[in-house]
Amino acid sequence: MDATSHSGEENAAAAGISAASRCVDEDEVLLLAMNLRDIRPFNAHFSSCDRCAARLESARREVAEQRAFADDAQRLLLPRSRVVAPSPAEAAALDIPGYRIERETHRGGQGVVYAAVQDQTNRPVAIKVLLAGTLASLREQHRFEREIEIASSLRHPNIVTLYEGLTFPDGRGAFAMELIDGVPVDRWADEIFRKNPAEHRREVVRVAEKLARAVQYAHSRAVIHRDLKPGNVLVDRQGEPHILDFGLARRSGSDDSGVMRRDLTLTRSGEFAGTPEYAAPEQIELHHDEVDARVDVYALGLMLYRMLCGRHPLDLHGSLKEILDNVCQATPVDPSIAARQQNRPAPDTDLSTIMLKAIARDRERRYSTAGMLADDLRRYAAGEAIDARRDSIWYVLNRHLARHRREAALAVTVTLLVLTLLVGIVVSAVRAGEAGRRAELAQTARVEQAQRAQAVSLVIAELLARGPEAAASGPADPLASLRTSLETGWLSERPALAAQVHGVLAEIYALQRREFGWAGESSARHFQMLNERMFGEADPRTLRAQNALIAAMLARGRIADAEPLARGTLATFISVAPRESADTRALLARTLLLLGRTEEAEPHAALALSDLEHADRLDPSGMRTHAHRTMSLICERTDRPDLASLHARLALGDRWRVARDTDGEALECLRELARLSPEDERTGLMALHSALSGVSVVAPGALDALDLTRRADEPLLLREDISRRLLDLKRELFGDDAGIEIVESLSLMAQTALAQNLAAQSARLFERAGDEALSISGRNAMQAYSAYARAADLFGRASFVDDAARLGGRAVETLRLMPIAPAPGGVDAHYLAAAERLHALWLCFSGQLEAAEASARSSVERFESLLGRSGHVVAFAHAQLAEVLLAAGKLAEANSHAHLACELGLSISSTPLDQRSTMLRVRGLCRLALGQAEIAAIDAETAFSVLSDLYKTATPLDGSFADAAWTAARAHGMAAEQATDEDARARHLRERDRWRRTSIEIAARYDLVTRRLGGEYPSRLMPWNRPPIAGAGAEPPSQTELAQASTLFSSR
Amino acid sequence: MQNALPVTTSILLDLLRDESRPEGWQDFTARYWPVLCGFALKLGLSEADAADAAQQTLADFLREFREGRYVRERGRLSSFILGIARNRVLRLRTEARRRSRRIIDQAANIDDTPDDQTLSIVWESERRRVILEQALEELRTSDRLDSKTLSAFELVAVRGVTVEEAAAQSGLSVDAVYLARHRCTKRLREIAERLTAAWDEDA
Repeated sequence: MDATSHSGEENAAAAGISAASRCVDEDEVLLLAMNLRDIRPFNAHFSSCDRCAARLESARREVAEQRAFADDAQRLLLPRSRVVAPSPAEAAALDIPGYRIERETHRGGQGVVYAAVQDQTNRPVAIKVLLAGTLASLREQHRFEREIEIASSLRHPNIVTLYEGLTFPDGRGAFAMELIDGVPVDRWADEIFRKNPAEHRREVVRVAEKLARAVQYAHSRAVIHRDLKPGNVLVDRQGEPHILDFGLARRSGSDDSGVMRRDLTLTRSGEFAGTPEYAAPEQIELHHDEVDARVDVYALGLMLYRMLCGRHPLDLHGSLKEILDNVCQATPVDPSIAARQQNRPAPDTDLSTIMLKAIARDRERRYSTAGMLADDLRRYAAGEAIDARRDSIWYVLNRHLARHRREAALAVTVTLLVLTLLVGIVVSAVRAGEAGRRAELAQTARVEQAQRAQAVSLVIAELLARGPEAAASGPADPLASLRTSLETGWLSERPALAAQVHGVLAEIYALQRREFGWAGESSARHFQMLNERMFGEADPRTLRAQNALIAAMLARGRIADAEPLARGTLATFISVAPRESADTRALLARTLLLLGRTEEAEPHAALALSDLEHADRLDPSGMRTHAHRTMSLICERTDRPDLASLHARLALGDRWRVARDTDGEALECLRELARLSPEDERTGLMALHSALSGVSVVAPGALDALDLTRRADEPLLLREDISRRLLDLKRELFGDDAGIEIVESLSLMAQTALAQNLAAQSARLFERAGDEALSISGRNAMQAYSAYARAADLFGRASFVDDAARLGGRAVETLRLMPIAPAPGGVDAHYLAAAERLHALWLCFSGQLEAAEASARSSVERFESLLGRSGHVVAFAHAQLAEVLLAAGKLAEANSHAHLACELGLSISSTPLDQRSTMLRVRGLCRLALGQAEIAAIDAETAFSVLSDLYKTATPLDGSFADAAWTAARAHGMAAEQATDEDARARHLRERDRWRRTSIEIAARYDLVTRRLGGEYPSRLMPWNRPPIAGAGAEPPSQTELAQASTLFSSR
Repeated sequence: MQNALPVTTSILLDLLRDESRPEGWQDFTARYWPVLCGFALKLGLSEADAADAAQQTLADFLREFREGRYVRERGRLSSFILGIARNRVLRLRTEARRRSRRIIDQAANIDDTPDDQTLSIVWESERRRVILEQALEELRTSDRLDSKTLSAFELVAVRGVTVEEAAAQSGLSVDAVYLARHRCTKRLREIAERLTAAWDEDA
């Protein structure tokens, strides 16, 4: 004991020597503050070092302060209850009134499921009880609660129905749900294949479509399942699939606050609550923000693959870490290979494409919704062209031409042109060197071109030879047999042509069909090998083939392997044909960027671009597009957003000029550009993107007028040429159903315009949207109304009062077209009354006093018949009627309505402040007209101050401020005239001038805002020009005064 | 990842006022949904009923707000919503008890309607819980702390595991766990204070 304490003291003393000599580090200070360290060795230092002593003191205070907070936090954050689920033996004794427990059917990590029968209905049910105890973490509880909440909100024949939630006295939760007598979907598919192989594919596609529709339904209710896997999908005896287990599901759209994020599949590194085999890469890579509905699309694709091919598309052996790495990095096994491994017929190209699109590692390449996957499965089942390949020119040509063989010959010619453009004959060689060398090179280029053309026609012939019928049973890749004949058939004896065919194939695969990356790389390798054999290592033709190989390797994600090849190729190019090295340099830059070596990549990208910029105006090989995209990413990573967005624009421009249509690459460029763009432009770009992504193959040359590089400042959707083209495209595409699409486009444009502060333009677009909605059929009247109402409001804000009145009228008329609720489909009469009230206001401003009066009266009557003579809504309607009547010179009646309005409205606390202000101001105006100047001034001033309360700064939301101030000025002016003693007169005159100045200044600002909204000088809205005109009390401002006020505000 | 600035009550209400901006409603729901659900659950509602109560309360509030019945100057937003939630929850609770002979609760027939003071305490504690959970989530995604530190903190401070056990589980020394607890608590407190200020902000 003694020895220990003695040696402890000795140690302390020894430590003290060193401790005294140096300052104490931060960790040490904290540990001392928490009394976890012996302070004695440090005493000497603390007594000599004020700074450390202060630090210790402050750390102690902090520790003490934190204690209460930490206790509170722990109490609040601890799981609500910890209870243990019954063991199987307990199950029999598990007493749930109303149910008879029959057996335990499943015991999982989260809970136990019992089969039971509901007493009252004799209905078989499944009852799930939360397993708790030490394993029941907060998260498990949330999962369970979330499952109940979410599952009970979903009603779909292919989603298991939740009957009711149950609660035990100890707070433990359980719920009763539909009992499904079925097997997991993978086992079901295997059984079908065993029993009835001929029906296997059809059945699998049918079930997969149903699942995708059910998932789409859930998505439409903002629910993402996030744990779809065969074990969570049971197929019953009737062959109907049922989705279970929403324990990991999440409501989309609500997670941004951070509140809902707590239950994400992955919350801490290394901890994985989902099923890794069926998790999407972004779920594993912890990209919280990226987890959206497409993770379910991914899982659906995996299940489809598993059902068809009999195995998972990835190699999933080894430790959890290896599995997770594979999910994120490995390329799916080609479906035809996977199927053959399992002794199953290979799925055809379309089905393979559907699967591979659904399980694309990059979620941008997946179907963006489960509904789109379902649609493609339906199209596939019906033998129609699938959407997944819509962006492939080859595919569309194939489909199209297979049906019109007679036109095929012509088509080949046409297609040749397309191909020549797309594939790109390397003409830059011609530019090289001196004359003799040039002639030689030109000759070589011509020969190469001829061979390339022949190769292209072979590829087309192959495509044409394979109609949909052939595709239905063939291998996954429509060009596979061509590849076979390249290796073993007649082509193998003609290396020059074979090399070109390989080259064409490599480019097709790389450009259009990245899913077949392995085939692309194999073709490219052959292309390169054959060229090397024919021309030698250092020939530009071989080197160009090496470029194709590098591109194919990059497309496949084999980046590290691509680097040495790119470096070698570049070195050789520089020594034999330096002018041709730009493509390779661009590829090297891309490679380095993908390897994360941005700084190294930049000079290469810059050099490549400067060479490529001087080449053709067009960029047929796509290399310049690529180089610009690389440069854009480099600039983004090095924090030069302007340059990044410039390069993204150039890439898009290049792509669009070449493709003369939107292909996949162009859309990718567009998406990238949108990502890099400022907020206001992004809306337009994304709208354009979504509009175009559905219409990729139609109307060649659709957007050739588009030159993004020149008019970058204007939102695209507002460009006349683009918007017109968009609408035309939609008409062309959707035919009779185009109406709704067009309304949507117009509304989008209108919103874009509004985001740009172009109120008038936005209003005109809303008006068109309304017209279009009405032209479809009566059932869209509500949509039309809302478009008209917005248009009226916006016109009003831009001070186009006549237009506002006209549109307000249209809104009212449109509502009158509809039956009034409670008639079926009827419109709420409140809407109509409110629309009339607004219409009256605009009519009044535009000087149509009779019509205004009629509308205002109708509004009041309608409101009163709905609500009686009470409430602020009715009061406000009376106030506005009073204003209209006053303008029409009907003073007595106006006065009585104004007083009624104030009587009804001012006594209710719920009356909104702006309405309260209007009531007071109108009463003030009436009193003024009756000559009661003093009291009118009080009304007007109160009206002004009420508004100021509402908007702390005097924001001129509308002219109400200016109106109130002007009324006050007039009232004081009149009061001055009526004043009997000099003091009062002087005081009123001072007040009059003050209020007059205030009004003019606010009006100037109002004018400025209006102009900023694209409107005109709101002359008729200016209080001194409004009826009842009365110069009485205050002189309207002179031009000089207005100009001065305006200058004052613009300078502010 | 940079955490977004918390949305203040003023911004929330401004957004909510503008019918053309659905994000107002979303933000608002995101803030109050968990509080309302937790409140309802504490008062004995089932999950489904709690969700209903939350939904009804939010819908009621939106209606009243757009009709101008909530005046900022007259009281805290939170108290206004509590008023609506109180009625909704108590009504649903009565209904649930009446219709359900299946809820295994011997005390079903006893009138145990909590008084207003209790309700306020429950509400306030749910509000604090939600803020803390939000803060904890922000802490988890904060790039200032490494995962070991975080997991040690969560074991000790949230799950109530002893420091020694947490050290063994997370592979840190006992001292390091103490330090982790201190630093994370400090950070959590700062975040919670910032979020509370945004919720309470009364500009």
